[in-house]
Amino acid sequence: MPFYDCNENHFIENLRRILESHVKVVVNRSLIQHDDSKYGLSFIPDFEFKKYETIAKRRRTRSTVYAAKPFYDNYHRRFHMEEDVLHSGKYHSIKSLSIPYYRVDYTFSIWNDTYTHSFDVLFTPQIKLEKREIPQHAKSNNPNDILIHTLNFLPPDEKSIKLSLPKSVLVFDVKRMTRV
Amino acid sequence: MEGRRETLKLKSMPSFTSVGTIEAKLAELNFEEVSSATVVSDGRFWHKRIFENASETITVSDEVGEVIYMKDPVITILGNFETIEKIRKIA
Repeated sequence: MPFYDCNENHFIENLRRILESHVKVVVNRSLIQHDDSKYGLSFIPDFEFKKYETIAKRRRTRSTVYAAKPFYDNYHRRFHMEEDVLHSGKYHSIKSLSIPYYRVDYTFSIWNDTYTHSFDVLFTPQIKLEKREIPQHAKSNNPNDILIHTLNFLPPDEKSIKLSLPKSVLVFDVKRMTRV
Repeated sequence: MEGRRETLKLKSMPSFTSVGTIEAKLAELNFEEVSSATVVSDGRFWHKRIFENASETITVSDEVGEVIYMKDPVITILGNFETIEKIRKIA
């Protein structure tokens, strides 16, 4: 069974043509959350990196990213000191700060052909000052809670992770799609 | 509103006009931005924004990052025929 990868424009237009021919179609959608270091701060474009500029710095895209100040990554439960390497564009062995994301797959099949459109939606960073206890390895002399920048990742809005389709399209949520 | 949604049509098109022009047209048609996210598709980063009015939904995906070719925002419409035609004229 052949699979055809489509971008958003191709996928929607193919679907539209089927709908206009009054063929009933079922669209399968899978949504899986990942945090596998696929997206790190070094590779993201400036548009996205600006959201992290309070706590991170880099010279340009694909250069090494350092912590601009100490902060606590609440999502990964990790503390970062100032000048810690957060992501290296060259050395992938360096444990880096990864951006979680949703992998969204839409597919429909017709006449034994399957058309698929896949995209990743990045979680949105939320950086704010919070009172936190510094862990032992941070070598702080102050045993009390201190005010520190805290990074959280907020999942994207539901509207951003789904395609808007007419009511006549049946959308089935599935756990996983297997390509044969 | 559910009944109106039944008659909505689907259309997706690349646009050769600027996002600013598209936004202005959407504001004129009483669409409001309700959500946005950074999306990665085809190895490219997109700023995806969703606009809605009473019953219609329009998604505008604009590529972000360093590109050497001309950007072409993708507009996807779930709307009535008139809205699709108005957007098509400026795209």
